Amino acid sequence: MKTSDDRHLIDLFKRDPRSVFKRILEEYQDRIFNLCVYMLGSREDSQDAAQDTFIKAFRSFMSFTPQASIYTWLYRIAVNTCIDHKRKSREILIDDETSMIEIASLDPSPEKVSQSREITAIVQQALASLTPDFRAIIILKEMEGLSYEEISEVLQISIGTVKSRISRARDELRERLRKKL
Amino acid sequence: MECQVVRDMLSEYIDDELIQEQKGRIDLHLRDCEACRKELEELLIVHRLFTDAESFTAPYGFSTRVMANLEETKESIWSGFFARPILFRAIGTAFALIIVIIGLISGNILTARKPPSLTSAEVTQSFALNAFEATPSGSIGGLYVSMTGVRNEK
Repeated sequence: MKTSDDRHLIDLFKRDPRSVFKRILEEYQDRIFNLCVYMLGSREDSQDAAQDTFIKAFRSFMSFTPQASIYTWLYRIAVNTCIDHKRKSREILIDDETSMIEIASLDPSPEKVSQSREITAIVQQALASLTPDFRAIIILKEMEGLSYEEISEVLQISIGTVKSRISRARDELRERLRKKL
Repeated sequence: MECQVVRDMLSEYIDDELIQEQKGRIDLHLRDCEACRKELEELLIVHRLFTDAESFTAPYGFSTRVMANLEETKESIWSGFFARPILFRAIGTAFALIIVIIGLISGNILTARKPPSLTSAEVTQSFALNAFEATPSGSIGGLYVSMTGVRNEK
């Protein structure tokens, strides 16, 4: 959605919040859910976090400013929500082998080759070893394909910090994955 | 260009976030430096791993559940209050206490200004009905009494 569309949505939201929000929810639910899965590594927690993200978004929609796009704003809420969830449930089995199995079998479509699941498990395990800041930035870049500018909007950090953080996170991932590749 | 400078820029190089001139200089360096080429290859493998990993979609019925929960949260204003951070709850409680204290103080002021209390005799007097004439002249009762001369007095 473009910013002009976003502005239009805000006007519509004032008149009919529920139906406008349903549109936003249906448009972004998959992207937000995917982000939560890789941030948390647990199906149940991901559903809870994604749901909390949208509820928070609904409550604070009127404070949304069209300088940012709706999806970067939603990503920001989602990242913060996932970090909060992780902090609250200290025992998330993100770096546990059982969690990897759960993630790998989340979408059991028969067309997907087992290699894809194996890759997913490797990626998830590598992500789990990163700090929440590095994990968030790598997911936004590598999985969601956001530009540096968009990531800077989501995480509210400068573009210079985005560049250095991505570079450092990649170096860490490379070190961790070296023995597996 | 030195290897370290190139390596620091490889991440941006992969993301195509460099200006053309910087990109050209890195290309030139990579042509002659095997170590930096190897580093780039490793970073590209990591990059490809992420693009090859699965993308997960929201479970069936997710949006319906969220919409239903929106309804619930809208209705439970009180639970919203109790879910607020401690600071907000403390402010709310302090406000309620201030209202109660103001009520108590104003109540005390009002009771302090009441007229002096009466003795029991004065109270009895104030309730006595003999201050009123039963059949005042000019009333039907008064006319009846003057005509018949009957006065029923206790």
